[in-house]
Amino acid sequence: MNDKKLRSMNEPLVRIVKRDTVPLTVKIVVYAAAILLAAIVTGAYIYCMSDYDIVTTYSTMFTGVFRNDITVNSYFKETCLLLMISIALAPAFKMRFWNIGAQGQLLSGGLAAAAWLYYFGNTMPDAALLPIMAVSAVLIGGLWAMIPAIFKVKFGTNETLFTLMMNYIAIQLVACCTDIWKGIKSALGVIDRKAGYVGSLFGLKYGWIYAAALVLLVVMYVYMNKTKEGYEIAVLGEALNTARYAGINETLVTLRTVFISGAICGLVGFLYVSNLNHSIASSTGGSYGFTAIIVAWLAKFNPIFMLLISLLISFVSQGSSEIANKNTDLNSSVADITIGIFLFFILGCEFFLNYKLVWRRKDAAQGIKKEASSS
Amino acid sequence: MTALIQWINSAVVYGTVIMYAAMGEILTEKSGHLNLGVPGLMFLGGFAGFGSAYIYENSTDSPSGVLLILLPLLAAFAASCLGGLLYSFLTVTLRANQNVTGLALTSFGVGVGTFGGVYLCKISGNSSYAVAKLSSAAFTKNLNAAFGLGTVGQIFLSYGFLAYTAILLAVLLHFVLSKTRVGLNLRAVGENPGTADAAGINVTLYKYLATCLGGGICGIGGLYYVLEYCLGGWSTNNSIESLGWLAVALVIFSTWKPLNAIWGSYLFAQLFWLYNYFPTLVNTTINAPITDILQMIPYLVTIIVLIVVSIHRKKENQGPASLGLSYFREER
Repeated sequence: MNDKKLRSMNEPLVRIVKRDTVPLTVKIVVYAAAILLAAIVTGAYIYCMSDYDIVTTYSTMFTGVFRNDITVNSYFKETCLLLMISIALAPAFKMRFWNIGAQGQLLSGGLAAAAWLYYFGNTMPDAALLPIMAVSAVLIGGLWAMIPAIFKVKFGTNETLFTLMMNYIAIQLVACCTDIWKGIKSALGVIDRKAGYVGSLFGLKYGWIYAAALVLLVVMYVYMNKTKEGYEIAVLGEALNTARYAGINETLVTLRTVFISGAICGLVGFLYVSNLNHSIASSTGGSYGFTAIIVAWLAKFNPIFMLLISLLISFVSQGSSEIANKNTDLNSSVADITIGIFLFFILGCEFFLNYKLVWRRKDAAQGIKKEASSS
Repeated sequence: MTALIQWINSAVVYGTVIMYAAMGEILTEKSGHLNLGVPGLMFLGGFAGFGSAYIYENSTDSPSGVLLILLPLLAAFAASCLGGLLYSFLTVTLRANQNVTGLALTSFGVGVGTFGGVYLCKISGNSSYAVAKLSSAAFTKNLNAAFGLGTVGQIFLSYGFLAYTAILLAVLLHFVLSKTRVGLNLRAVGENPGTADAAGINVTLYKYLATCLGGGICGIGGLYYVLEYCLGGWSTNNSIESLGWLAVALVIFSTWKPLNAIWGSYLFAQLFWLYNYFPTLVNTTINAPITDILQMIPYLVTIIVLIVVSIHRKKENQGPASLGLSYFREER
């Protein structure tokens, strides 16, 4: 048996090698390819389910998002909400604390705000009511997240499922309160009070949401990258033993970080109550808790990337809804599927950033022969 | 007394749904992969089973009984197997993060199920609701009437065959995992893939097989939910999702042992229905806010279980050592 044959039997067609560093060009190419492929698959899927070809699909999506002020504002609003929850989750994930209970933290914070609104909305002026609503939403959201964290640091309780179950508890609490508040009405509806409205800012209906998202983006970037606290999070997430050796107080850092994570979710809950709905329901916040997890992870906890990914996902989401509205063959759940396709592709493409494929060389056998003869 | 029997009946039906999902997840986790896509897989299975049954029923004049059962079973298993395949391709081959991939699979699966369900209703012309009556009848056929055992029959014999195969499956899974070479290899892969690899076990193959089969089993749970609990009607009810999460928690509760999952799932389901039957049982009526609080119970109990399990750490009660970690042969 000759060398070449022997070698082709032993060496696999393709090998996987871990990369040390990723050149920026490779990054851009890989992400662009993933998004392009996802866009093609999404287009193909829509084409199969309806009579829209890929060009019509994306032009409809585009007009659905950028048709007028209302759609653009709605687009930015949804982006900012998703972005804020992603920002909330990022520090916890970086510390390898799997907080998948964003929805519960948002709801508990929102519920606290709604309770103030319901009981004191007619007696307290805005100047007093709004700050109290915001502060209690932030506090309750943070404390809600800290419950699993306390058990995690004390007993090593599995936080993934704990935070998840806390979602359902919050959902039931909200259901309970809305049942009490609505009385004999069939639904709670808008809580009709004189105060407690967060109005527009800079003439923008959702101005406060944009402002909150931008401020959080900058603050979180600085917090994670430029402060001692942010560094402690990184060390704790990367290497627990190193953190212990360096004298980082594991309990303190964990609790503090998780509190911050929940507090931001609580703030989003406050914005839902006072700016968007003026009410609360167990569906408030929707599925953003889960989507934000994926956004935070894909962005590698970098707030700027989180913004870009949120922009992409909200675009796909709102665009898909537009297609579903225009086309009677489809329905609103199509957005879940198209978002899923994009997320799967972006998740999968990370492999090509972490690893390199090395193909079996055709001339490998000759190369060895040459080496053997020259030596 | 009737309330108690009804409570048990409802609990066995829901418990069976949870049991299938928990079996699938135990099998998956034994290979070292934590699949948080269980609710999505259940939706996929439920929808595919329902869809195939519905289309078959309405396409022939005289549907055969065997096909009414086989088609939905195969379709449900195949669809959620494919979901599992997607998950394992991303996490085994492309080594994506397992939690994140699982959650993406959940929202994707729920989306596909809901979308497809609404789509079917629409093409059926029946606006908002579609029912696979014949297939549901085949799946819910039971031996209760044949034996005439009264209350005992009502408690033990009034379920479709899938409720009993779930128990058989759990026993089989227990046997395979603890008594066979294949089970030993699978556990080795989940505990320490590096060692398993060195011992000549095909780690990738085992991971793929466990995840895909596990996914398929989860799908049967979804199918059972639609064809027995919903009597073949497709509704966009989200209880399937919360049942899926309870199943994931049940895996920890059962300490990764299929036999524990049998009684565990009935217990969880009993707690799930407590709000509905308990007040009748003790002759009180409760108002809506209290009902909401009672509906928290299964989740509260899950949390308590998680805490208790973590406080009483015993070596034999731990999950697979490499659970949640990707395996890359060349990494040291």
